[in-house]
Amino acid sequence: MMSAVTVLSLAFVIFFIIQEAMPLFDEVSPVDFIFGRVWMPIDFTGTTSFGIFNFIAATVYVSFLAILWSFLVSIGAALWLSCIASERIRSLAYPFIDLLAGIPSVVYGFVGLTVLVKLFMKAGVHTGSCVMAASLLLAVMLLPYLVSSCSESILKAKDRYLPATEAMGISGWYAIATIVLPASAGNILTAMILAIGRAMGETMAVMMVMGNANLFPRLFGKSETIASVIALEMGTAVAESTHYHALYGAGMVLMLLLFVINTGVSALQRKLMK
Amino acid sequence: MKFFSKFLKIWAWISMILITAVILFLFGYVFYQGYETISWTFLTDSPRGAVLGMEGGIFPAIIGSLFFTGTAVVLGSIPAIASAVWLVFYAKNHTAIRMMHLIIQCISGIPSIVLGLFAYSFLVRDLNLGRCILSTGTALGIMILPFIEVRAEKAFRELPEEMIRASGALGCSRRYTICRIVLPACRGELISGIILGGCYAMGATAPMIFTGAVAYASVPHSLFEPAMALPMHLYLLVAQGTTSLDVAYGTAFVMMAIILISNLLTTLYARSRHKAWMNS
Amino acid sequence: MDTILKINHLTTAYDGRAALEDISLEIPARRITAILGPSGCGKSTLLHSINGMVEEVPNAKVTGEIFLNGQNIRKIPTEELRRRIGLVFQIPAPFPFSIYKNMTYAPIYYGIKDKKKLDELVKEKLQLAGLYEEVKDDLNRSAGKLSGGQQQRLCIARALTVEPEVLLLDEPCSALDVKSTAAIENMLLELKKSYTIVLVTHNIQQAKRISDRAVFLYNGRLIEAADTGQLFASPKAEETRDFLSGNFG
Repeated sequence: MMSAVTVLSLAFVIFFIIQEAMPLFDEVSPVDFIFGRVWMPIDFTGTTSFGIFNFIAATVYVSFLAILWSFLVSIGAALWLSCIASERIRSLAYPFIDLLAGIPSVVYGFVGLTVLVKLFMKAGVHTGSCVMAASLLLAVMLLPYLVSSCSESILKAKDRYLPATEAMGISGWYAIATIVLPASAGNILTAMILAIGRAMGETMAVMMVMGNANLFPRLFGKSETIASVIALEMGTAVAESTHYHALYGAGMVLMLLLFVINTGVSALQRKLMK
Repeated sequence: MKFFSKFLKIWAWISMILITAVILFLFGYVFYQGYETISWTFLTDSPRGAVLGMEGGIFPAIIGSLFFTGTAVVLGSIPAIASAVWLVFYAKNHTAIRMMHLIIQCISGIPSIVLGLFAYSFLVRDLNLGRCILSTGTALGIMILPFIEVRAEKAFRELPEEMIRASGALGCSRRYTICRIVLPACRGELISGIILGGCYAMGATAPMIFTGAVAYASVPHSLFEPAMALPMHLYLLVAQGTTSLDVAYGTAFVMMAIILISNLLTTLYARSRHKAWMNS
Repeated sequence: MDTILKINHLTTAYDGRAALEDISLEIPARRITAILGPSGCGKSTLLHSINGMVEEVPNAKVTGEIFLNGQNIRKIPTEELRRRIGLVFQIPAPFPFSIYKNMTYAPIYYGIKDKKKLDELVKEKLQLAGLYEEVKDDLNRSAGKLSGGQQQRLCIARALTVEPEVLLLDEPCSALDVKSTAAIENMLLELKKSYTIVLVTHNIQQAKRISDRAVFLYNGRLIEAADTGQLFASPKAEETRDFLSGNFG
């Protein structure tokens, strides 16, 4: 019975977000909303405009960058955990890396602001806040998920194929490079897609180090993600104004993006199982 | 390929060293910068001063965070555990099971800021609750629901099947079996899942910005008033700029300490339970 | 000899594939009936069909009738059926709490609350299972700490706490050593004075030692059923002869 609450809560969330977003499209066409580049919610200059293209681009851009950094390190760490570490060290290393997952994102943002942004400023980036800083911060936040799921799938593939190659006298690392890694590629890919989803929804840490300016994302330039816009402007948006509905519209776009990712992943997982 | 395999090994070492360094740095940095601010007054006094938090402490934020977390845990864990029970012990239809898993995965995919939007339109406005602990707690509860469900379901599936069937063979109803055998046997995993979920909720800021957390409030008395919260307080202090940096470090320190300690305790507890269970 | 269970043309199929085909069989009261056959012949399915466990399996289809004391088991509510027909599994499955709580688990479910009554029941059934002397000093010990053989006797004693009319045992000794097996066999001989026992086994010698009647199943069909002495001395069917002489299984 109570499990119906689970189903209902998803239905409720979807319903309310869409319900609040819909009035927007009476005034702004979906195409203008998604592909428009000018976001001018309050009519200082006489005209308002609601285009979230730059926000979408920034969200996707920063997430993919983060995945790239995180992937480089987490595959290495997963290899270390599954192929170098002993059983005992592994059982200690997992909770150690999981500590990263326990740190609240606002603390990440705070440390990012006081350390990372300062470093970038010294390196000559104006004010220091930039997409690069946000992506590095996000990469660290994604590490625990990627490391544990990658090492899990590498371990599985290793247990399955390594005894046979060892019997043939092939060196461990050669077999890992040629058999184990390719065999676990599918599962690693799934983990990465899921991680992209996580990265796109992240709000606080990114918001605190990315500068929050409505610009098309460049590596060392400021930019603003969908989640940041909502977090920053929701407090000041007048209820039932177009601005208010546009923020729900942005939330809806973000949510739909993640649903597509998640359903895609579960379809991919089912395919991999076969 | 020979070269590549040698390269892999070096890469593995570099990555691991890098991760270790990052973890040690993060914790070391916050604890090093924060511990000087910590004092009895800081923990038990309200924020004071011309600019927020310049003087005084963070007591209302600590209590507020406990309120938010408690509400989230109660609202999130009940449907989470019920769903896990349903999936493992009641659902027979494969399509239904797959749908339920997909739904849970989708909930876990909803960004926390969108949950904040939801709570704002449904609870704060439509139900007219206003900005309050309950509104935020609901959003946080939905956020940790999949987190707890996944852990509960895993624990249930790891129970020996014979035990469940033996209870059925005695003629006992499923409900009795679940209440008397399944839930007690999985108590350790369930409690640790709930506490870790609570830590996750405690650190979340995005869903509370416009649904229930405020810059200044006294210690809350009911679920229907807004409150201060540690992560929100930290965010506001940081947004204020350099004037209150020390207090910000202190707040981050307290939050990390709470989360680290509960993490550690539950891991130890779950391990000892697991051991006792394996030996019995 | 009274018949307590009567099976008429029982067919059980999983996903349309028959695991049991057209079984007709009578089980005598207060005797040990051994069900023999190579693995995969449908022995366990037969037991699970008798006490309704098979209905838990998705896509399982049961046709034919089973009568318990003349009453069609389809007409008996599942819980009551399972109370009246106990089932003990191959792998001992003690619940993760004390011996005492294992024993009172089902009685409490059926509404016995009186502490004295429960104590008596625990003692009586543990004695029946020949376990009481070994554990009486510490009934609050965790059941998981018992040896495999003791665990299995505890599970049998636990099945007895709900006063079943028939006790089904699914290869109860296959996970146990020789000594524990002997202890359980002695206990079963003792139990048959008051209970009807159906014992699935792939151990031919065990069936010979303790059963009164023997039934031979092969590929989901009932090949032969007779008094144990007769079945072992002069098996009628060729498959039975082959099986008893160890040619397969």
